Amino acid sequence: MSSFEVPFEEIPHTADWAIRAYGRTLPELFANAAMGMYSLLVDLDALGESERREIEVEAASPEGLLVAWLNELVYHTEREHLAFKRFEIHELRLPDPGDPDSLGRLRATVYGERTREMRKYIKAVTYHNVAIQQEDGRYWVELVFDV
Amino acid sequence: MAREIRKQDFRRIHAYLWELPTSFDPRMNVPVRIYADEELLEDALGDLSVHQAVNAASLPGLVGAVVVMPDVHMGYGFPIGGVMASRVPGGIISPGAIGYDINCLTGDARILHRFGYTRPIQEMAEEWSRAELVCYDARLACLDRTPVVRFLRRPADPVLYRVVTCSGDEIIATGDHPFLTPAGMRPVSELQAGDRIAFLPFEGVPYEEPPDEVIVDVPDVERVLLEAGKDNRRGGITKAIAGLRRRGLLPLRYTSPALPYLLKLLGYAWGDGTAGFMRRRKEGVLVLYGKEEDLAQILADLNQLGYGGYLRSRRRRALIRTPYQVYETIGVTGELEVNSTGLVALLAALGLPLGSKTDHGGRIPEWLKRAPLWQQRLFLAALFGAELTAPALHSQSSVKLRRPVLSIACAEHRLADGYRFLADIAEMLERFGVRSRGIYIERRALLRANGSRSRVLRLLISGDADNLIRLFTRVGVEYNDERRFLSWISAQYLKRKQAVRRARQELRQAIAEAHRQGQPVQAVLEAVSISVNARFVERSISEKQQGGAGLPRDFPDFMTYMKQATEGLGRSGIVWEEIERIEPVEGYTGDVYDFTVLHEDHNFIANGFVVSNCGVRLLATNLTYEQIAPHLTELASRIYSNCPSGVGSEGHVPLTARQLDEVLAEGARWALRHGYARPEDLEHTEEFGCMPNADPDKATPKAKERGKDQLGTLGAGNHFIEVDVVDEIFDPVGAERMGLFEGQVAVQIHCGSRGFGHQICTDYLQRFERVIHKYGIKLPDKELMCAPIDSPEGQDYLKAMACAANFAFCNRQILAHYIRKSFEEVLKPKGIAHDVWQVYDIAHNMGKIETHEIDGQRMTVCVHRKGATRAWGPGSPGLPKKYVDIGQPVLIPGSMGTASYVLLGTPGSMAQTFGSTCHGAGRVMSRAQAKREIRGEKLKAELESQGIVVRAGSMAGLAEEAPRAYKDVSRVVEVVHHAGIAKKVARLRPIAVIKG
Repeated sequence: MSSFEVPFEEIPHTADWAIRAYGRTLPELFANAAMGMYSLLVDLDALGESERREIEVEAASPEGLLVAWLNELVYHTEREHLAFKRFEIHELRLPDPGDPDSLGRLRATVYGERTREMRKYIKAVTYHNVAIQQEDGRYWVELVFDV
Repeated sequence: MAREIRKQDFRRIHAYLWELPTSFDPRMNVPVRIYADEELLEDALGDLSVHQAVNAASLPGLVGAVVVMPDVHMGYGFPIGGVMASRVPGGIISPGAIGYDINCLTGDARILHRFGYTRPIQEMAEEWSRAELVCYDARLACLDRTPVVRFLRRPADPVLYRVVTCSGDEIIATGDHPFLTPAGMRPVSELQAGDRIAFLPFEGVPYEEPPDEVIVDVPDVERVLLEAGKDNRRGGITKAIAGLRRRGLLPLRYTSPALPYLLKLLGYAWGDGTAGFMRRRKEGVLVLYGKEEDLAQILADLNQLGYGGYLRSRRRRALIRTPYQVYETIGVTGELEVNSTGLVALLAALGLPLGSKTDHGGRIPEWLKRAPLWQQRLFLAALFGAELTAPALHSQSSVKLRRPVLSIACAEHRLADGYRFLADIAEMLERFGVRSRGIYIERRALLRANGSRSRVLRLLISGDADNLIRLFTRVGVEYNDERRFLSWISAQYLKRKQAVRRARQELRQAIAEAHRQGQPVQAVLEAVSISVNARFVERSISEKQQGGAGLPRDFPDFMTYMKQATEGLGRSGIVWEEIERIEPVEGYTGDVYDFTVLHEDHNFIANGFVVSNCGVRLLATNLTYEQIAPHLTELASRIYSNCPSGVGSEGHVPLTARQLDEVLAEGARWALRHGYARPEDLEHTEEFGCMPNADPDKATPKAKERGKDQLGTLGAGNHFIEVDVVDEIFDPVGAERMGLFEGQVAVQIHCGSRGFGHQICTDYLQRFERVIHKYGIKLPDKELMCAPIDSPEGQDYLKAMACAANFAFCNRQILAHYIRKSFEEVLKPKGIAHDVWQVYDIAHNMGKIETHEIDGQRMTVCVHRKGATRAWGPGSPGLPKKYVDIGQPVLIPGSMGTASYVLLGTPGSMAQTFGSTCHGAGRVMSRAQAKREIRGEKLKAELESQGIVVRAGSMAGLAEEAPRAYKDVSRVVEVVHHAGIAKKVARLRPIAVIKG
């Protein structure tokens, strides 16, 4: 990634925290969104990768898949006090838009470390205005975290 | 939704109440009411809070209004500081994001239904609930279909408007009837000549009730199968018939719901398909050819009938027949193969020729000739979708269209049959007012693979504009989106041409007339809206022969017109039409019809709306400030260490799975059983500390995992414990009943159901997301994800939410216990007698089923409160005995370091806001901004200089909660007090703050 392209950035929101994440491909977008979320919680540079977890989620829409992915990470974080900094996405299959019953799937391995020093507590990742957009060859999406 | 909302859009009801009426946005079903003074209103308009309230107001099944409290700020979907109520069960529903909200049309307005027929709206009064209409999906820029869910009739307003477009189309509507414009939906009253509105060129044909006669039945299908050589030794015939019966296709009547689909299938298969019984076992196979996207539509319809098919691409030798040449080519086409003996037999029984149509072209069956017009239309339109030449320009012109031609290939020895087939088609078309110019037989014969010869026959449809318009707008095209699009654009183009010609012709005559009478021509020119040049005027005056005015030089050619007219509308076929004039229509004394489209007759519960029983508990003591002051620091430290807080905090009450289920089912009663509560604590809690409809089985395993170690913790974020002093009493009677007095020490606990509640919300949102398409609810914001209350998902969610509520009640109870313990640990050794009792405990985020009086009617509704507090007035059920005659206590914590208030619910709140009021101060500054602008340490020093002891786990967290980041709670409380939705009782001032 060139130095002109940021993976994510914080954006203002009155009650909660919000970021905008970018990616050249959808898996990259999903990984950067997760990285952006964790950047709010911990200092990523200081975090190790001694722990890894396998993540698998399903949802009925691409945005739903993104939110499910992030909420699954939030769950692990709260349960085990883990923060993650590296995300390897093995499979990202979107649901079939012509079939309302089809589900998309994401499988990933995530790497991080236990830490008690988290800056804030994310209750949940909201669906608010989540819409994956494509512009100038990049994907981007805005996410609001309920903290 | 980007449209700006300004103060002027509101109607001021009184000094503290403003209303955004439903006329502001046609999607709104109820108005939005905001309690605020002028400044707080400006604040609210400063972010998207009101937009979110407007979004919420478009959800189905709401009653009353969406109420917004003075402390509102934008949330994620629904504003925080808002209340809305939805009807339970079922009830009148209003539109989602797609579909025409056809408000208020006169009774004879014709409404287009899914199968291409129109009905006058007044005729739909009986059966509207079964109707399926055509509507426009703006997001996907395509046509869609939708059922009707609301149908009201009312006497007409005195003034109606007739809207006439430049192409001569007309509609009469009330002033608030919205039209789709490039800038979104706008009511007629806001439009003027020159504005563009969206128009669907398709007219269809009037509805006719089909006769209840049988078309084909079992014997007909049997005959087909036997003739095809199928035998019943292995029960093949029986099976085929059983399959048809099972799908409700035999006996097939004109009134069968499947018939419209079969008609289309028949028409298309006749045009571009092959059907037969193959192989030794004579299994039915139907193959249709065309573009993949069109075949996909056919497959969807087949699925509706209960059949499946295989869709694939194939290289195919095709005969391309134009009126001017016939040539063979190899192209890539889509193919849809359906394997079903029953279906093929049924189609054959209906008249579909089997095998090569060149040899057996078939005749239009008698039953079809007798069918109601709209059913004949379906057949013809699908046939044309397969076989009619697409509308195209003449090779020499950029404005003139070629006449459409229907061609068939016919074996030489069967020419008479082929001729009769086309003649039948011509006769069918006549009934739609579409004329043909004859049937021509190509001179040149084609040599076929089997050695025989065939000729091409053509049915020529008259190419004059009126005829084409009728063809395209009454018959139209099915199963061929591109051709359908082109035909509708062509129709409008032709209409526009005609309208322009007509206007110019009239002008010409008017000029000539004026000239004859010696009057100034200039006056005539100024009176019309079209512009002409000097040469036109000259010719009008001089030329004797009025041969009909031509088109102006600047008239757009077909391609340009197509581009302009469909800008932003995709290939849906909807076009922008310019309004020529809008005239008031007077003297209409009939009724007008209010008519709304959506999908299903359900009400809903908005999930993402409600979070997790975040709430406040107020404890009071018998101590005064002077008594506690010397020990305050120690007390604060004790509380801080006894009450786990902060990110990732774990409690001292770890639970087994079974115990957690008990907590979820019993709420604060569990705490009582385990020694964390006094009985009177429960008496003074909302719902007496336990929501009875909680069902632990409906709580998701993940939520339980998240919650089981968190019982008895404070959490982080905006949750805190505060030690206060009662500063001022406003209502002595209420204060005395609640046991409050000036100078008294009290404690507030502000927190919720922790990770458990959040996970419930997340998991149910995910669950709703998978099924919401079933309920057809369109969401302005995905966070407003909802489901019908009466659905399994909705019911499960109510029970799960009750579990979250119980978790929170139990949690606050346990924290209250730790606080009592803290007081004891600090004061008992010093011999200071004290008591800490509970004033009340209320929730801020909850959905509750309650009964309220709305517009004079008692209704059961699901009241959604987000960042709003229940505030029931005196005499309400469910209040502790001590408070029944004064009303329910309402606790409004200010932001950290500022005042908090105690109020009482009033009859006013019951009447105005579904028994609700605000919950607190409401943020004005984002957390990010607060963190940037305010330094935690500095803030701590500031607070301490004010005499407030601070125990905070995180300085950054402290900064985010700075008072400056919140609205002034006193102002907020003034508003609700003066608006009568709560009554001030006392103000509290903080002396210690404990947070994570």
